[in-house]
Amino acid sequence: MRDKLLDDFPRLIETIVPDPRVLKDITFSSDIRADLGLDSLGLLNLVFNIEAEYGIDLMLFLEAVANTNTVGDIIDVVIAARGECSVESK
Amino acid sequence: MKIIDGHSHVASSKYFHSKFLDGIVDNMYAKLVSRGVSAQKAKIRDLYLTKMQDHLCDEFVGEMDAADIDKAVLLLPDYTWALGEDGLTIEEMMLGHREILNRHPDRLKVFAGVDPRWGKDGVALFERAITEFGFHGMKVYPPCGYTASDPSMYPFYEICAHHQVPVLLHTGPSSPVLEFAPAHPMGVDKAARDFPGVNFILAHGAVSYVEDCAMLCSHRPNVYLDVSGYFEHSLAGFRSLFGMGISHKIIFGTDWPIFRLKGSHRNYVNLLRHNANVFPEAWTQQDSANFWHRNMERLLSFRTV
Repeated sequence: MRDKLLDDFPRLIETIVPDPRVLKDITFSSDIRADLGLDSLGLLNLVFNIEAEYGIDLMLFLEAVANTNTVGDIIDVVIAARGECSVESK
Repeated sequence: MKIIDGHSHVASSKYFHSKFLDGIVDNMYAKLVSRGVSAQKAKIRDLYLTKMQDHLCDEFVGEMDAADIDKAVLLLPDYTWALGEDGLTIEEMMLGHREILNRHPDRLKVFAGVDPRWGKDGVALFERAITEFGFHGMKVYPPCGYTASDPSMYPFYEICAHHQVPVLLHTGPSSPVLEFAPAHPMGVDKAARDFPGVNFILAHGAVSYVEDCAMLCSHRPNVYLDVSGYFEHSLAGFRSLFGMGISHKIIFGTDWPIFRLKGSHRNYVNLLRHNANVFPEAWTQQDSANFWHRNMERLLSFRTV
């Protein structure tokens, strides 16, 4: 599941990142701010893109989203929101 | 290098007016919708509020430690006349800041303001803030609908002159629920001339109306500016500003927690600290000390209570 979500990730952020070259090298440990260049607007954009892509509501997971640092962190929030596990148990 | 952050706020929903936040959300929403995003204002708002729960500044002091910041000035503007009370009165907010000050006495200072339209009661409250609560200066917020040189501000400046504490005033744009025009830096000119014994700091003076702010700092001995609210693109203009021979007037500041969703405080400070393109070649160690701590340290040192 995590690998599939990682494969999806470039598509979710391709219109958000300031430098599209980063899309080639995204890993679970990529820092969403330092490596991908997302600012607060980019983070919000990502939240809404995730909701649209997976048909989920992240309203109850916003604190977890705000505290994420890496792509892996975001993916874990998505998995938790889809009811497959809890963020705390990752 | 010792660092004093001359411009910060408590990251708490208790002190961040809900209407002020609504205006910021409106701008974010407009940007997202323009990108074709199916955004929801409630979600944008709630995401921001997740980072506004540090009511006693314990997290902030931790972020200061990580960013090598020795001290920070917390600013409390009074929106309660312009936007209405939102849970707490300005007096209750001041008492909350006094509690924070007492909790972190070696790390934090407080500048607070009262809207001049609260009249004599407001002036009396401000005097208590300086003499009883231990605050170190005044925060003026012109977007609430008055300029810094409005005659109604003069009783406050008399207090500042008496106790030798500085006045920090917001300049430039604000939340769209407030007025922008009164926040032009030239609004301080008459007050700065009428109160030569009071030091005035133009907040965000390296980001908005930079030429006007630099001119005032160059030619009014009691006018300073802070660089708070800087972002990646605004740093391009810093080299020119820093090369104008007014390092004794420029104060480091961040505007915490405005950029908190963008990452750690350390990373935000490092945007400036480790940016070789920002500081001119002729920038001396003395210039650097002035900027990072000495100017604000000096302004804080005059207080006589």
